[in-house]
Amino acid sequence: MERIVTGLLLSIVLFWTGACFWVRGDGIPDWWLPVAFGFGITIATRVRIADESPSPRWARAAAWLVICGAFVMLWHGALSTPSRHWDGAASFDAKVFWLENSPTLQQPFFATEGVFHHSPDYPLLLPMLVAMVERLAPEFGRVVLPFVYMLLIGVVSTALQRRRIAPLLRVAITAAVAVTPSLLTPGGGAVDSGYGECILLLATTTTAAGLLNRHSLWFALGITLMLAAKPEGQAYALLALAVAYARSERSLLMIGTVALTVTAFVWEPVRAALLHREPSFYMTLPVVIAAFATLHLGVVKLAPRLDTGRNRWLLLAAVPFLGLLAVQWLGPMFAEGNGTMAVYMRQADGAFAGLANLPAYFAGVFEFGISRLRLGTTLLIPFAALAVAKHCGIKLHDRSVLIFALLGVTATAVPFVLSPEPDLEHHIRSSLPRLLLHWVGPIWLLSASWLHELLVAADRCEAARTVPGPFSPHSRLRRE
Amino acid sequence: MNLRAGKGGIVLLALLLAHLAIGVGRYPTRVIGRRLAEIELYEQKGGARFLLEDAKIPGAEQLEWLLANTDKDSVILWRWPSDGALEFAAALLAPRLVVDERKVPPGASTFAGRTIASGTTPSGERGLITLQGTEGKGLLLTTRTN
Repeated sequence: MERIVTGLLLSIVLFWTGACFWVRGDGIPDWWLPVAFGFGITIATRVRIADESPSPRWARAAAWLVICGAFVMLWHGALSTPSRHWDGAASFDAKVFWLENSPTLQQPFFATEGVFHHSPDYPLLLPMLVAMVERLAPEFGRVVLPFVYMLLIGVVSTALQRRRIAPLLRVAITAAVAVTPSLLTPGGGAVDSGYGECILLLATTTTAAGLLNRHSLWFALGITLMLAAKPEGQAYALLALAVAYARSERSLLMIGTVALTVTAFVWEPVRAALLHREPSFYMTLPVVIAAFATLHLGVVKLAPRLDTGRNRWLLLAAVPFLGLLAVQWLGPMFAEGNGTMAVYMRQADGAFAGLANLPAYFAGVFEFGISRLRLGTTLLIPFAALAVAKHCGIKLHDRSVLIFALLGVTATAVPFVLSPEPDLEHHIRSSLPRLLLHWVGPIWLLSASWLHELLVAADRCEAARTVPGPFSPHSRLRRE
Repeated sequence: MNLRAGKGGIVLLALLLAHLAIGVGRYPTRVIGRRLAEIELYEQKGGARFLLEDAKIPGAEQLEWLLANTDKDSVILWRWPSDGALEFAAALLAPRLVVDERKVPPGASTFAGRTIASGTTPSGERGLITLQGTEGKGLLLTTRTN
């Protein structure tokens, strides 16, 4: 399972890298998709994997039933019609149509200024994948969408296996991710909607899995996929590197920086062509920042006096404030043109005034993240686990995924602080549920890890024959 | 989850089970029922009418008229504002190209090697067919007389 999942992730990244090169020229050759997948799977057979621990058969069967039921509906939903919701129909379908006809940017839809092209700078990973599958298997291109969902489930299951999470809990958490209502209920952001949310969720989850298991390859693949999936993936990739930095995960930081740099240089020429301009400084900024963070970590390591945990935590705590200052300072540099980021950066002057939108944003988080149950109880479980652990005096680990998810969820406020929409309520209603969805995977990985730690503490407590469990305030563990 | 683990464990177990129940409980109605209904409606109405009526914006008639009355290889001009129904035009009218009329020089009858669609609109205007966005996010069929 781990080899298959790693192989598929690797294949997608390989495909995307080659496709970005060919799409600017004569076109992506039809043979590239199967060859990239062949390479990816072959390389993955040589990757060292963790031992598999079997889970109860009944639980596995139940989980498969739930997942396969969802997969069949998503397959049917994806293949029966073109996209049935806004961004999928307005943006994704048009790109797929033209790339399927001819997988190159050297055609009027992409190359001629003035042709209506919705969200022109959106990364082309998903449209390219669908178009190339469509060329190989006509009428079946959109099967990519439910397969991205299956890969997401595979990533969660494999990450938890590698983390040695208790088998039953592992199955339950995998099923929990699979049944998340926002992914399955028809609408913008659902797996078969043509939106890029599921593939970005796959990317954030892979990155979080890399952090959870200190798995360099997955961390790098996750960072690449984040940049290749959606524009906000650039910000998420930087957050992942910031976490690696703050947690002194040197190898993750190094390989993450390399992945970010390579990806930025692969994508920027394509992006520039889509926006009808020369490659610019824009995408190199993350690279510069990442390089700076790498350098700084080296300095910190060389100068132990600076290497105090408090320094790093203070820096992280100051991130939102520094971010706003940076947006005000740097925003105008990126405000020109018709790119997605430019639309928001034109509001940079009013970044601090935009803080007035935060109450509406928080109300939106409560509505779309909790009360409407679109994410089920995803956002509640980590808080509950923290409360239980604190109550019992149990120290929970896996801070890396915690910080990544925290920073990520915090970042979902940025589009509303810099909202270009006059109708904030509409903006929140149409975008916030999808932004929150990007963090479902990392949050469930965190929950799994914490629940497992609480279970282990419970077992230890039982083994010690203490009368109340570790969840009880009278637990011995508390005193220990 | 260890049920002997006290109230905290039960709360966590309940939250996890609640999530699974919420997710699976939606299968019959929202995941399956709503999806099948949506697909059926799409097939009945066609893309333009389904998408625009679902988004509660006018413009489906104009798009359907263009699909029925212009060559597939033609260029359809469009005019600002572009928010709303116009956003669907590029995908729904493909393989026609939808082109900003400001980029087409006066007197031109072709663009990017394709013929610009011309003719008489249902309202009787004659010239290069132009799709005009409206303030209400809908569409207006009009013409440009070069």
